[in-house]
Amino acid sequence: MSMIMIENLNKSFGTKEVLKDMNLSLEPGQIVGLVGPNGSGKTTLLKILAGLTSDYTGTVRIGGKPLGVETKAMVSYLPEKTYLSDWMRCVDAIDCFNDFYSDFDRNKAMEMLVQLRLDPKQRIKTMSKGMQEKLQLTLVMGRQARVYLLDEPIGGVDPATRSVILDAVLKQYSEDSLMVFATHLIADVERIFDRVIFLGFGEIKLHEEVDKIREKYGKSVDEVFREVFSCLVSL
Amino acid sequence: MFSKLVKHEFRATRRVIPFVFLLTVFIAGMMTVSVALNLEAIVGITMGLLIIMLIAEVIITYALIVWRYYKTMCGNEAYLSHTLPVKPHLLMWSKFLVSFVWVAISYLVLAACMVLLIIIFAKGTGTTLAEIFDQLKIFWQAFGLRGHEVTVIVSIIGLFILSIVSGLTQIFFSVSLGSTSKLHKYGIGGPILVYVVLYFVLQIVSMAAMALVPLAFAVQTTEAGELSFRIVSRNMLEWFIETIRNGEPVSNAGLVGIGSYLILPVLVAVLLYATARIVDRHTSVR
Repeated sequence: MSMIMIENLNKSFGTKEVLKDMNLSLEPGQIVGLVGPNGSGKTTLLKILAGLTSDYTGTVRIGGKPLGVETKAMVSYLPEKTYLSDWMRCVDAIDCFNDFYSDFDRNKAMEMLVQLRLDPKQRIKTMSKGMQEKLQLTLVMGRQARVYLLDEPIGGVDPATRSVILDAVLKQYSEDSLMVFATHLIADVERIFDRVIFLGFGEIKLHEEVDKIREKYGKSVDEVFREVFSCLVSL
Repeated sequence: MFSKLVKHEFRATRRVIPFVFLLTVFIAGMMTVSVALNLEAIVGITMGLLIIMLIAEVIITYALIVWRYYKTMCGNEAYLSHTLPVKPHLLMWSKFLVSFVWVAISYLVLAACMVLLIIIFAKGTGTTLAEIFDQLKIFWQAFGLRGHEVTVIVSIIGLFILSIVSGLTQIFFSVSLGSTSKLHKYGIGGPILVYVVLYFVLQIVSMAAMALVPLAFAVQTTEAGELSFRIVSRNMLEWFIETIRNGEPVSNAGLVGIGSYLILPVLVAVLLYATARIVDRHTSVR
């Protein structure tokens, strides 16, 4: 059974169509790269899957369920934005997740904090953006979720931290889950993808296993991405 | 889950809101001490500060509630709130309950400080507490309230609760509706616009209910010169027109329509239901 099933999904902002009649089915046990240029609809798609946007048309199911409380319990979502209150310390945020998510592993999260060199007692308002992103990643990956939705988790951090974050993601990821990883920094992360979806102007331009892309085009995913989207942009 | 939501809401709000109350109580304490020690200059300053603080603490409490609701239901923190595995309307109710408690405390602090100011003012004019109570008794009697103490107190508590619930409902409804996707383009102006429109609509409905619902207080002056109140089944508009036509009241009783107090709980219930529906079905985090 598909973990994520999308049929005829449409979403507009005013007169601008952001997602156009999208159909997609994703199986568990893989890391899927959701790539596309800015404004291609990646964040909107993830927000719909996370239950943050309700004004769309079409059918979306996660684990066979329509979006709602049950799917929110299955999905661990990392947004682009910082969503924690600035008065919180790392431990407060961990306690909050521990209270609300039955699949949250407090010990795993505390270990990850140490791994990412975060002080559990430090207040969020005193953290840099990179540190806040690491904390949010800790919270998201601290869950034994069936679906992980990560929106640009490495967008605001330096290259060294990117590697640390990617290693942490791989370490925490369980193989029976589905991870959707939205990014435009493909070269840095394509090594962890099993499959990629190229999203351009609200449509899926390519949906293929990474190995098959390399085999078919004889190029890296990043190179294929540049080719596909340079054509689209020039058009 | 609801109790967890309430717990976390208290944890998040207890860092700022009670500080405003503590500051008010501290200034009241300073004023009491300075009165006890006869430090006239300090009494003047602290009394001025307390009067400012009494107005400010209620306004600040409401402002912090609005800000917190906006931030956690429509702003960046909504990314966490709306991904928690709970029905969105439970988020709204937990915030409503906690906000109600804080606003109620702000009014109670205000009332306690007002009593303190009256006592200190009485002391300054050489009036005893017994004399103040006597004045209150005369006031109570003049308004014909003798023998209706329980009814009056229950009514005051009821109106106090209703006014807080009504105020919070208008805020929550305005922020929720003003932050739906169709009003996103107005930013923070969306909730403000909805609030202004809602305020005028509620004023018009209240005035219409006051004038048209056949339920009113008939106020009369007794032979002893006391006021007497009784509830009559007449509408205020009809009485008003008769008064104008005849040049003077048909009876010597004036009517004050109270239909708005019947309509208000209904309006509040409708708005709360609508808010819960908006939060459940039209969530669209920016």
